[in-house]
Amino acid sequence: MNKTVKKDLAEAREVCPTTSQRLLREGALLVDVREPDEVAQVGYGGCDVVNIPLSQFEDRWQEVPRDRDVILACAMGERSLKATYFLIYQGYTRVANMRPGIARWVARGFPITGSADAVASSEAASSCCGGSAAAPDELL
Amino acid sequence: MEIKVLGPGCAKCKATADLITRVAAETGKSVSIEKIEDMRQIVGFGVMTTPAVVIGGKVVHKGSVPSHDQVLSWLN
Repeated sequence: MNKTVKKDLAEAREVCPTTSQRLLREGALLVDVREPDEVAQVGYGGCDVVNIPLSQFEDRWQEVPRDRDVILACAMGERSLKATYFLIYQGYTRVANMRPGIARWVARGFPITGSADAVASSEAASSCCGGSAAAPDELL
Repeated sequence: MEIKVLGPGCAKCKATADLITRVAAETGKSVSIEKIEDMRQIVGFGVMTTPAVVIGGKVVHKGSVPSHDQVLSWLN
């Protein structure tokens, strides 16, 4: 495992969907960190958005521009908070976390792709812990 | 030995801390386990995938509950 560099991170800026709408209109980029199947069901629309799933974020974070305001979003605001802090760890300064996420966005009537009916399942899928690694048998 | 378990407090994080406690008891090693549940502090170690384990300031494991043998190797 690589050398560990511990950093005291600045507190992440958090913005609500309504404030996010304004920032997006002013040129910010939305980074949706939900998994592709969630995005396929219901996605953020009407703005400049890219999908970098949290499960791929450690490999793909460099796709996020440093010279532009960036808002991280997910279903609830927990996974995207982790991604926001990871970008801060990597030296990004123009990043903010949207809290809450897609449900409030839909409730406010903001543009979406897919179906609003899928919001509940996207929230249910939200977990900020590693999902791919199973516990050893002895612990099950 | 000071060990930090990084994770938001989910079942896997608790299982990791419990496993380390159990293996330490089996081997008679004295360990002090600190759970770090604050996301800001967790990611401050450069960790995205939890649970993770930090020993002596170094991340030795991340992304899953470690195996019994892994924990044993850390304690020896």
